[in-house]
Amino acid sequence: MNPLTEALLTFVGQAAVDLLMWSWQAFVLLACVWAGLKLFRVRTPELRQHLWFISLLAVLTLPLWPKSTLPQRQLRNGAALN
Amino acid sequence: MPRLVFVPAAEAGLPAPPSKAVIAPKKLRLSQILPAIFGLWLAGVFLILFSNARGYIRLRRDCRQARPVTLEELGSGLGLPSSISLSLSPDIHSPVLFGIWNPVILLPHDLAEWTTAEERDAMIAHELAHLARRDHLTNLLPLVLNVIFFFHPLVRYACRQFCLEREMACDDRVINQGFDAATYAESLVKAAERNIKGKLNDLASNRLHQPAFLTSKQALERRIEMVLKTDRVRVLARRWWYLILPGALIVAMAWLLVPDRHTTAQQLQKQLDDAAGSVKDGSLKGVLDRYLTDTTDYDNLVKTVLSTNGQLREQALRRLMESEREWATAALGEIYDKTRELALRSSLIDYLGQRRASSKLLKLATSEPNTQLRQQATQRLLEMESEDRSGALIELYASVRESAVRESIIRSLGRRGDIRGLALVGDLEDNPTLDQLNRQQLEWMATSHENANTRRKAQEWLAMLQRQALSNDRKGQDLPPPPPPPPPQRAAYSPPSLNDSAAVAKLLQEDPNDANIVRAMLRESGDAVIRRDTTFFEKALADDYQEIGINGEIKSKGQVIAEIKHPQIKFTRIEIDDLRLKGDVNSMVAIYLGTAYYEEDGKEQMVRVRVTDNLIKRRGGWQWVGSHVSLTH
Repeated sequence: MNPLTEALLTFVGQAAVDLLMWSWQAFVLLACVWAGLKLFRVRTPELRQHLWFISLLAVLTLPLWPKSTLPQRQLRNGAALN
Repeated sequence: MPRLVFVPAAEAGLPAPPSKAVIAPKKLRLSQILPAIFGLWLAGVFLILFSNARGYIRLRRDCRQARPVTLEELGSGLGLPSSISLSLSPDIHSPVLFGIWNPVILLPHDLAEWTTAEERDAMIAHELAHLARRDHLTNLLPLVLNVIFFFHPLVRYACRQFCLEREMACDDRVINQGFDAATYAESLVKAAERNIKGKLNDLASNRLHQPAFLTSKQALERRIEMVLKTDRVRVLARRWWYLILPGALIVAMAWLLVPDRHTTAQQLQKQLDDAAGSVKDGSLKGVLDRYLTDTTDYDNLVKTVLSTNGQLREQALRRLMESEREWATAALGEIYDKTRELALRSSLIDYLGQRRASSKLLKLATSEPNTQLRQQATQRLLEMESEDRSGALIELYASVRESAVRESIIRSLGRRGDIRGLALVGDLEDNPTLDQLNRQQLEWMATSHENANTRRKAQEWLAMLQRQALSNDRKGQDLPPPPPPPPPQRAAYSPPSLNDSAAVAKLLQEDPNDANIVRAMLRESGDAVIRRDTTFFEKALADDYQEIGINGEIKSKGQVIAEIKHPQIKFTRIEIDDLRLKGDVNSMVAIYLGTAYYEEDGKEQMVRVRVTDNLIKRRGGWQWVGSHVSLTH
């Protein structure tokens, strides 16, 4: 396998993983919005449309969002002590 | 019930099966599946894009071919904004708003034939409502998402809902403008009928394309139901702050869905980069494997030590102790911080000492609330031999006020020949006794240190101190008397000789105190030399053990063990007499007369030596840290 093919395959593989991750995120987000709309019985079509619009916009822009800073354990090393 | 019976092929008279390599199904790996998934997705995207582009081009062509018309020509009493135009097209079946920058309302050319004037006005009002709400712009969002997520049922559902709500919002606007709900509903039904007829004609003429006015039966039913529902308040959410809370919730949820490690691929890449950056040699795969294993091991071992007891915990601790990886030290520190068990903490201090974790030990020696543990950490720091220990000792010196600790630090620095350290702690010291001790150490180094360079530096330093003393007019000042010597230790009971192994074993069995343990170890060391049992010495000699031999040569642990295995010298008997033990529960000095009988090149020989052994207790066990052997005359 030449380097170009290898690089292409790596890129394609990563793109597929990103796409799957994006789909999963979209699924969770839209399911929550759907449940919220059902639960709170929003009666006005215009408001419902706005909420769907925000949700779809969020889905579309998800890959561009900055990564959240939820606490993650850093890899420890001995240098921290010594 | 039929049974499957496995019979060897040879017995069943069948030909031998092909080798495993031939019949084994080829396993699909992730690296093969992912490109295939991406390829399928890309094909779907191109298909949808092609379909959309085809529809757009046809609609654009219809729009160009359409005949512009005015509202007056249609008999409408509505007002039309200047930014929009009306056109009649023979190729569309229901009204549609087309275009982004210069939108056009396209109407069927025969609209006047199947609608009343009021129905026409309602239809045009609906399209104008789209324009007022800028739906021709927002419609791009579901369009793009439908292309990307053509395979995603929930995204497609959300897009359909978005479009349905958009239509219903426009319906509400039309009704709010004063149009009769029944008339408007009638216009919707007529438009739907025209759509269906048009679709059938398009199918027949093989030119199916349909601008979205109505998409499905359910959607139409829902819209008509909403239009005709008179008890419904058609409140339009014009005030944007209604959206703040739900919008914020959606944004928060989306934010939570974006993890720190964004994707597995990116995470993997980051780990690869880290690993490649930290280690310069070795294959990347090997490095990565080790890297990932380390992370898992760290978590598992810390968790095991903290959450289990007994053998499992001991195994985990032993593994951490024996690990050559740097993170094992950090893991021990983390366990120390998280556990409340004194016994475990005590063991951990010993382990940290063995791993030369001077920084952590310094922290414990200065800030550990438990006095016993603090002292233990101090002791381990003093015992430790490493390059950066001096810095830690000086920091400790500055942090503690106890004279005993400071004295130990001065002595330790003196033993190491650390003139700089002594100078620094000398500056910190106000206590004349300790100051004098410091000076004594320097004087000893100036006269007796084995290293000539150290001797010279110590002499220079002393001279400088003397000059300073003269300049401060402190010459002749009486130094305080030296501290009184410590009370003599009670000499431990010592049997005259240790030449009977059984007697020593019995003694230890009857009274297993530290002195008897050391006696037993001395006897065992003699027996182990005769047996050439190096395992005993591997355990009993400290790693930093040093022996000064009969000719003044210094031997390490490895050299001593190598001598025991010497093929040309065979020890036949070792006697230990005139044993004197001094010390306490943590350190012991054993002075004895050793007589060794051995055969060298077939000749029987004997040597008698005076031995001084230094032993200290580490992690509950005694170890030799040093020995001095000299010939007796």
